Amino acid sequence: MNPNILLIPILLPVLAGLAVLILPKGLKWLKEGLAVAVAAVALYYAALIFKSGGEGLRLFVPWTSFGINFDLYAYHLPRFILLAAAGFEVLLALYSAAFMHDKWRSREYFAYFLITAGLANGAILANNFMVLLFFWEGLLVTLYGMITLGHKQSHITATKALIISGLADFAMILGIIFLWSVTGTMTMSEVRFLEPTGLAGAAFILMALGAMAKAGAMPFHTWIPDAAIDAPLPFMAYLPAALEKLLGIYLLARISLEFFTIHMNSAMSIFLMTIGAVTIVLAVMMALVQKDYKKLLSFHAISQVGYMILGIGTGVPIGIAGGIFHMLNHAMYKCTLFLTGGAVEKEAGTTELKKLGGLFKLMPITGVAFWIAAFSISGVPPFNGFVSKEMVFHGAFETGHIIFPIAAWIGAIFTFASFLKLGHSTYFGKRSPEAPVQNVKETNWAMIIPMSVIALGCVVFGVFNKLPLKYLIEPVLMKSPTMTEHLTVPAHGAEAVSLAMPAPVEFGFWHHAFAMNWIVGVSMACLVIAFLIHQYGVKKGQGKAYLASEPIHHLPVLNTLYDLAEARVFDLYHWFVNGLVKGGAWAVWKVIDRGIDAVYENLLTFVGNFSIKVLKEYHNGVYANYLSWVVGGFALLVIYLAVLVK
Amino acid sequence: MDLLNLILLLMLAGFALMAVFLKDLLKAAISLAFMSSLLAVLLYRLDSPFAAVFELSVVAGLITVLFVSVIALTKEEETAKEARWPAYVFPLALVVFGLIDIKVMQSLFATTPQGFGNPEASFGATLWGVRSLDILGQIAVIFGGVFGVLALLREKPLTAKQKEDAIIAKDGGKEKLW
Amino acid sequence: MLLLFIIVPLAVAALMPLLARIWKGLPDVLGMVTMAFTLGLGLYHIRMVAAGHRYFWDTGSLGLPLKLSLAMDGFSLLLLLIISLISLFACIYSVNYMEHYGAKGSYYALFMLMVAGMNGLVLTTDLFNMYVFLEVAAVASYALVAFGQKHDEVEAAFKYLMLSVVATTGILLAMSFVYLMTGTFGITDLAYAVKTGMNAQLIGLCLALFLMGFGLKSAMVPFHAWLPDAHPSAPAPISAMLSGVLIKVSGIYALVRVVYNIFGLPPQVSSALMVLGVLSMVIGAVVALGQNDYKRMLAYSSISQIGYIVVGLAIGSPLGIMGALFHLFNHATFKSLLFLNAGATEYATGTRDLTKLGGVNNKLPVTGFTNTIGTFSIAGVPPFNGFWSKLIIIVALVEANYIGVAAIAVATSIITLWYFLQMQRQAFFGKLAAGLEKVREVPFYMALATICLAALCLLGGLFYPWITANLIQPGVTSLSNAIGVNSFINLGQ
Repeated sequence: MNPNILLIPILLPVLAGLAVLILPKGLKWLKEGLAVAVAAVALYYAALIFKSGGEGLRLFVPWTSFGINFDLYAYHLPRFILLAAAGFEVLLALYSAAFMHDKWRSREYFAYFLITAGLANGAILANNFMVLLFFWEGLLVTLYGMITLGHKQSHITATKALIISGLADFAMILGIIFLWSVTGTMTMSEVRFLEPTGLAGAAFILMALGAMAKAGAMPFHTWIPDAAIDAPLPFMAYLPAALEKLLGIYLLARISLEFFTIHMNSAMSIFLMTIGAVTIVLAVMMALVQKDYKKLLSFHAISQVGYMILGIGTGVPIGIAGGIFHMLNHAMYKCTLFLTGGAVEKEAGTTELKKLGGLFKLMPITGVAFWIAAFSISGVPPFNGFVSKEMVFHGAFETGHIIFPIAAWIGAIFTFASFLKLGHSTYFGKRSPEAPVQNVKETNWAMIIPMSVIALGCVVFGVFNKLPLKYLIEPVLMKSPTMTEHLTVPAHGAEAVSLAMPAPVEFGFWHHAFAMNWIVGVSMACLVIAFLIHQYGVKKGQGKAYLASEPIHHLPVLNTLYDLAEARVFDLYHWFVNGLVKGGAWAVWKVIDRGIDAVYENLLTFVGNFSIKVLKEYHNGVYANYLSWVVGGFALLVIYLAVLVK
Repeated sequence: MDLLNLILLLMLAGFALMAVFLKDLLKAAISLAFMSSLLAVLLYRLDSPFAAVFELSVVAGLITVLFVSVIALTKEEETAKEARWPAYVFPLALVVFGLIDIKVMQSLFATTPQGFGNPEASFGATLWGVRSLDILGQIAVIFGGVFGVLALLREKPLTAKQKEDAIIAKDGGKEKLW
Repeated sequence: MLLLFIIVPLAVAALMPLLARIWKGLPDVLGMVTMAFTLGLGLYHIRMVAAGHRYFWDTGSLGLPLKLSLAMDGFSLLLLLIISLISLFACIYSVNYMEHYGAKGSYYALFMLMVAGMNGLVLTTDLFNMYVFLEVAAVASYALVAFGQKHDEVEAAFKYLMLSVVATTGILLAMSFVYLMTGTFGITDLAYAVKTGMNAQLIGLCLALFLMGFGLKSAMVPFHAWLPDAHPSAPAPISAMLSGVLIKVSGIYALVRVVYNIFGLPPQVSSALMVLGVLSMVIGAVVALGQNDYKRMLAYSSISQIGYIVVGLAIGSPLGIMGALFHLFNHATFKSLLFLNAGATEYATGTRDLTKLGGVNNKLPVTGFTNTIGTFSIAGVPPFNGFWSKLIIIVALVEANYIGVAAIAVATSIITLWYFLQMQRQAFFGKLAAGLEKVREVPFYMALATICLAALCLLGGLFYPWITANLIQPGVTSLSNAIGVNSFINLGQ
């Protein structure tokens, strides 16, 4: 196959994006149609590239001197990510066409959308660090642009996102430069399995920070919840939920599997796992106390990254495979969740939980899609999140540090609890008297198709989990020499995968080794605990909310759930604040999250102001002062150059 | 002869210091002009009559004109309070510099290579034959001075209100009465 | 005909005050045509210079009794192009902007003189000529800084003049030492003479004097103090010329010619330059963060950006020089763009105090847009040109094992992004400030100049391989060949 084909998924969307900017305004649906069509064509070519097989396609064009060349290389991992990204681009384009077409500055939105798609594809395919940086940094610009489209004050959030992402990207640039000074090459495929020690270790940490920040891990996450409120909704599904996760985890995978070798329980492994575990627990605690549909989801977008980082950081084959599988799964269900959020916002007119309720009957397809995705993210069998989370638990358990699987399980408990809360307050219970739109109806087909396709994917990947594992994940990882190197007995890795991953519908895993039972058992117990927590919280709330005593029990299957659904978010939140979580979630929210924010906003400002003040005092415009600097500087130069030289 | 040179040099340094330390900018500029004139005398005494003429005409003349004209434009009193310490530090620095200077110069002159250049060549030949680009540059500098003075001493363009006032003043306020 | 680069602007300058009386619009047209002419002349030479050719020209071929000799290599050509390019846009901008200052004839005369001085400085092969042309450009710039005739402007110009005099005294003293020891002023002769026999201690003294003098001209900390007063006081197109071009030609170019081509960048000078560069980078950026005056902030930011260039040059590796020269080119484009935008904002709103501005993006769409591009370029956001040059400098730093300096450079670029975004937010985004409701977009020629420069920033980033290969690389070659020819200070050790 001609390697020039690699240019199509990059150039086509970018050119189409630029074309959208200059298209005449009058033509209705043209930009939307163009976006969907271009994304579809890009998907077709991504599929072609994926199918090309073998050692992959490589496009190499000498660019400038100093080893900087235009170099694209689609082998196992990139072409898999490219296919996934292209898939999301199509569905999101379709969704955006319905959601955004009558919004403020929608032309810019579609232009940024397409350019982002092209740049992301470029970043995935890049095989030279400079090319990677070019696309990676270009994404910053469109990120900024897309956030500003939310409303007139969104630029504040956009600036925050730009600065935080820029900070992380500079860490990555430094890391790349360190790596380059160690290896002497800018070609990514020539960097292989370095030991992360010394300068290479610094390079690893810096690059990993950059990659994790892209994926939204702590402490680079604070702009995401703000963006959930300020940015247009499809943006949240598109960048923080789907593409940035894919890109960030993709790069992290390449860093820790290809460029470096991460041994189990090495310092680097512990570093990654700690970031992963901390991100899981803290972000989920914060998610729990949120009162807004989109904001709650955005904290989960952060929390779930923790699982991926934890999985990859274990250095254990099953954990790594789980981390990468979780990336794919997360992109799917989180995308669905944000899309349902968009549908709710569009139809019901708000995303505040206290103004929502009882939407299941009115928007059944959206509701079903939501619950599938919610079960997936919570790790309920047989959905896809269950599979990948179990793999991560196994991997974390195998490292022997019991604290990491415990953190992951804590995350699982609160994830489920918060989604029960979200689901109840939105889809069940009574219609809120404060609801801004009374005659809510199901949303239109262009928004339904993407969310139901992805939700279906969640089910398929969960039930037939061997398919993605065998055809998508395994070829990516098993062909990587690191993986086989890691496997003391190569068959063991495959065995572990198949042990952990029997078809969950059969519940066959109960018959396997005791360790398997034990871990899955704990996970199931977590779900039960979450359910109990939720039930208890709702009961407490019922006591307060008098009106809640008139339950709507018309849906027979979900009768029990209905009884509990009267409680509003407020009560649950109060229960947590006054009880268990008072010292936990709220403190975490206040101290850690706002603390990190304060570091960005206050400490830096303070240090800055102090040095500015001192320096400004010296620049007082007095000639004699200035002259004395010149004379003093000259004296030092003379001493250095003329006197010391002898 | 050496003694006279030394006296001239000291006077020159004195005027230079005055130029730096005098509060009144106009006096300082005039001190500078005196300094240049003394320098011109010194140059003349050191067998460089052309340099002396240039020094006198360009530095003592032209640049002083520029200075004085610029100072004439700055009418307001200097309000910024100057730090006092430079008044003590600079003389000290000057002494230290002078000492180093003497030391360096002595070793410098001891090692000066002799016999470069062409002592027989006339000033004109050197000037036109070797340094013609400098002449071009000098012409440009003189242009710069002239245009600078022209630009800075131009009449300020009147604002709309000033124009109105001028008309009123001219007509004795008749237009306004209408 | 290299002399045309000097003679044409000089002749136009001489005739300008007379021609201005014939027709009011003539100075504008003449200024633009002259600059377009020198730009075309510069572009004409690119191909041969990129192929490695070095141009010589002297009057011997004309049979005149005069002796003029000029030379042009890649480095000179790069500077010539920058001068012509930025001057051209500054002239276009001046058509509208200088209207209310009056005396356009004198203005353009001084402008052309400054250009002639810079072109002469860049083309000459003689150290003393360099000094003379340095003064030509400087004298014109003193007058131009004070052109507005207001008290502050005159004071700033005077301060600038007085500090510059210290610098030129140092330069002249060093030149006389060098002449005393070697008996020649030719740069190539000097390189040889310095190598063969010169007192190491005296060379040290000369280098210190040169560093002080050219360091002051290029506004490196601690010799920078004149710049934040002088650059904001000048009319906007002149600020753009001073910050974008003059400090680079009379500071960086002259310094590099002396330190590289004559002295061969001894390691001590390299480390001294590194220290000066880092100081400039950090202090300029930090002070810029605290400014409320838009142009003053830009002036401090120039100090910071000069720091990047100096650091790149101090490394002395081909990659470092490439980064420095590319950044020099880029800084000329985006800093003059930003100064022109500051002027446009002041022109439209009557103030450049950031606290009094706000939300003018909706009122001044063109200015706001080009200003955003300028911000992105200077802050090093890809794909604009500033990103690549900063990246190359940082890469070169790491390659040469200056890891700490690389980290400082990265941190400084974050501060740069910070204060520029702060400026964007205060002045252009957000709610429209009180009293600015009637603000209208600036006139055509001002907008045209800023749009062209913004396009240049973007194109420079997108086609940076072409620029580095054709404009920068020849300069890098001619400089890196000069390094190490002279390791005199090691002899003294």
